[in-house]
Amino acid sequence: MKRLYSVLGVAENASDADIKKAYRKLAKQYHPDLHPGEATAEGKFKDVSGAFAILGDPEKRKRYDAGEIDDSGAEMPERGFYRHHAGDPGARKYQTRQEYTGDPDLGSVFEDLFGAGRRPGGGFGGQRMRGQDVTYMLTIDFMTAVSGDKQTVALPDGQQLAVTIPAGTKDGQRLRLRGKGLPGRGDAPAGDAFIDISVRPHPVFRREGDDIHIDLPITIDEAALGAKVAVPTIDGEVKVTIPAAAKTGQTLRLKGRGVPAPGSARGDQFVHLTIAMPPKIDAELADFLRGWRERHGYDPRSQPKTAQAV
Amino acid sequence: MAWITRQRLVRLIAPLDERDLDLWISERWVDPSPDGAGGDRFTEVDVARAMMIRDLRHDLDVPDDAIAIVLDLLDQLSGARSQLESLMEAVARQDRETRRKIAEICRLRLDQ
Repeated sequence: MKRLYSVLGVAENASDADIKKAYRKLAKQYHPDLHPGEATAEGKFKDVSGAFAILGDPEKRKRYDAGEIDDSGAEMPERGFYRHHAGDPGARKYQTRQEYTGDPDLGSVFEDLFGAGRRPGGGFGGQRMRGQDVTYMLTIDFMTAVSGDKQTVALPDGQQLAVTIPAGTKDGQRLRLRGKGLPGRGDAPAGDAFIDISVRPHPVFRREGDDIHIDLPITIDEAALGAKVAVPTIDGEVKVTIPAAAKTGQTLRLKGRGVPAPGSARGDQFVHLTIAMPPKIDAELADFLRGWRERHGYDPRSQPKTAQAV
Repeated sequence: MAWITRQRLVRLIAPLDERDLDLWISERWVDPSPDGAGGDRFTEVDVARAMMIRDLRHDLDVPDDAIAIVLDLLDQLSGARSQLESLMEAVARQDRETRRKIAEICRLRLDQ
């Protein structure tokens, strides 16, 4: 299903009225000003209003359905069929030049016109002469995968292989090193080396798509009163403001602190707060709380009024 | 020549994903050029080819080993067509009498 429809939770053949209704409902649910404590509201609201900007406009919706524009409204290149390009100079690398296998009297004519049948570089005949590909496995650190790096890898046969790991490399990704495979026959080119990447998990950072997630323990006083705390990011520490009355499970979003993704916007870092009790409850705190709860007790386990009796 | 990044191409081949593209590249069904920073550049030709493979795989449900055969035949055909076109251009540049003789032999042989 086209993504924008699932963002609004409607079927692809939904009426314009249904789409408007779905948008209104979600907008109320996620509008950041109506939910000031919700850190993820802004992101969700932007997603939903972005979807409505296209699906709510009949002209744009038509173009989106036809594949002329993408999720963000950008023009899609008109789909070209391969046969339009099959004869282009840029397609020569894919072509197989033919040997002549018919009437032997005509073989020399063919050679005069088109040269000898086998061409080292081209297509299936050529592929047999080009060197074989090899595949290696490489395990790298989380930070190396995220920021990119140039590494020299020692191969089993003693050779060295220089590998450029692009920034934003994902676990399971396959890198291709042209010409670093086994040598070809005669003057044929060498095959390629493929590197299957495994990324070691990081003790602090977790990656989900282009976003980074961390769990941040905070003290009860930081949660109650708010505070400015140092938070690790892949670029180093940043100071983040914890809002007063912070809850366990609350998420703060640090925009642009996620994984760099070549060719698109950088992801975000999400900081999940957990409130950590002090290692020891001292007598002073215990006395204070006993008195405090007489006047300010609250029940976090109470059932909401709308819950049905079981 | 115009080109797009791997990221963009992966979106175009949806619902197939990056692992599919990696497979097609290691099989040489799609052969992008390097961008100098460890990544790939996909020209219009590469994109059209990737879309064709996507159509075969996803819309027409063609299994991978059959795709290899289809592409091989297609590439042989393109090769043969290029040769034919270069021959046609050579013939086109001949005088009328020569062209007539060539055409006569062609038709005779093809109508056999």
